[in-house]
Amino acid sequence: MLELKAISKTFGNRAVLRSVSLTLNRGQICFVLGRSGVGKSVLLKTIVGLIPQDSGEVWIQSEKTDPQNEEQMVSVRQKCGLVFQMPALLDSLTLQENLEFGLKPEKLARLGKYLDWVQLSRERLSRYPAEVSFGTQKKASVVRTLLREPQFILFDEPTTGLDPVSRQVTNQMIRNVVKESHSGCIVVSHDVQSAIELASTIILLDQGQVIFQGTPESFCSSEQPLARAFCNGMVLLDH
Amino acid sequence: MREWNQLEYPALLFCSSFVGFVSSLTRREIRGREIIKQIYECAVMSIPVISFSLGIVSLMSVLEFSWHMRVVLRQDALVPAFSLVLTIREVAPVVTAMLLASRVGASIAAEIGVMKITEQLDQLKLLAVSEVDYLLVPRWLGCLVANVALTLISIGIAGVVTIFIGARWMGYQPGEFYNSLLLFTTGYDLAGALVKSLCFGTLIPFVSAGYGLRCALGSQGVGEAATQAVARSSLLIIIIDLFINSLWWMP
Ligand SMILES: Nc1ncnc2c1ncn2[C@@H]1O[C@H](COP(=O)(O)OP(=O)(O)OP(=O)(O)O)[C@@H](O)[C@H]1O
Ligand SMILES: [Mg+2]
Repeated sequence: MLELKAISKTFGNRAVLRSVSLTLNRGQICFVLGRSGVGKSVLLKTIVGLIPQDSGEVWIQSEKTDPQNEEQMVSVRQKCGLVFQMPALLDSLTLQENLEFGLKPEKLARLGKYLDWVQLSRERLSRYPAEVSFGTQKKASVVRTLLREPQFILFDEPTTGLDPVSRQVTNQMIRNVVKESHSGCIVVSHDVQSAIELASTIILLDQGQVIFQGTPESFCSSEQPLARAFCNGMVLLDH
Repeated sequence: MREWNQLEYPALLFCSSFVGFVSSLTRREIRGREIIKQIYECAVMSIPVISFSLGIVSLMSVLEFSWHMRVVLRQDALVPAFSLVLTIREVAPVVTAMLLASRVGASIAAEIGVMKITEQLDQLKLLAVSEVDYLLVPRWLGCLVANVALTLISIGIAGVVTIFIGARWMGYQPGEFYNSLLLFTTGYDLAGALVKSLCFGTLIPFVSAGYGLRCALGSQGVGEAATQAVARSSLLIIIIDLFINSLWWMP
């Protein structure tokens, strides 16, 4: 189980996260929605210790994490993979080298399967990140995380910047991850349609706080104005 | 946590790289390919500009010395040898290091800075790859080997240029030059030049990497990091040069 207890984070005098809590079991998908700049990426980075929280606790498989303890964070990051919003491939290496980088050779056996999941062709792997499209880079960065087979995977806007077909492919990939590897996924997204299709839980963040937490059905019938705006695809002008 | 200042931070990076390098030696996990790539990029790519610059500098120094000596003493027999001593002790190590700092220092700072702002450094952490092993150690070894090699090449080129000018314009036989050279220059001078090049070859990558690793987010931050890396490395080269001179050659 992955558990966040009252996570708060302030940058300068701007409180980005205010007492955010959530629980995720393996095999579940939790979608985190919220307007741009609300702190969704910061939330994912605090889970893996890239941004230490000011207060609150992160528990992964009944173990409390300590972002200052680099040794422990190494094992935390093995259990909990993060796919960044931007692909963040090492640009001096080809895609293939990126996928193999720091990976135990035996884990490469499933490369073919994961490439199929995201529909990335093997011929592209000999190119450098700068020579392929953004979407291809993004798929490669997903495969890089899948290869490590973490128990929890945090996806930061996996479908943003992809065409509608790749979006469907990505959604199917997330389903596969949950079904086959029985991993738990947190998906940060602006794609309400995917959230309603896939999520076990939807969390809506606003001004650093969780303002809605519940099932997709209850999200659509929620009276919460921002939730309704997200469902209707409308813009909240008074925000 | 305490903030390290601009001198402490490179020193800290050096210590962790040294420990990282020794432990990778004991584990026999040397990133040979990466190190060779760095040596190639630092050394081979810098040979033309450094050879050219050192050739010109030694030509100027011979002609300038000669002019002064003729005015004062009406002869310039010892000038080529004097000039070469100056080159070995000062010009070759310092000019080489300065040129390397402006070429390689800026590129190290900018490369690491871009890796930081595009979250590649965060990605290294996620992959449990130490940035010391992957980034710092190869760049350190690359710069170190490159700087020592380039300093020796510079001295060689300065020697050739000096002999050529001596023979062509001043009428001295290469043999005479060689004899007067032996009078003034010793292995101790060459050792001093090597000590300098080892120090500068270590200083440049760590100062530059320090600026890259701590660069502010955004392209302006990367530009600033590259500029600062060159400016600070050059300044430190001059200060350390003075320091080594006072230990090595002053009575
Ligand atoms: N390292 C940092 N230093 C200072 N401020 C930061 C840092 N990282 C994030 N922030 C601030 O935190 C806020 C939330 O950023 P975050 O990237 O989490 O937004 P987001 O919800 O992921 O937005 P988007 O949907 O556009 O990706 C932003 O205002 C950002 O300026
Ligand atoms: Mg984000």
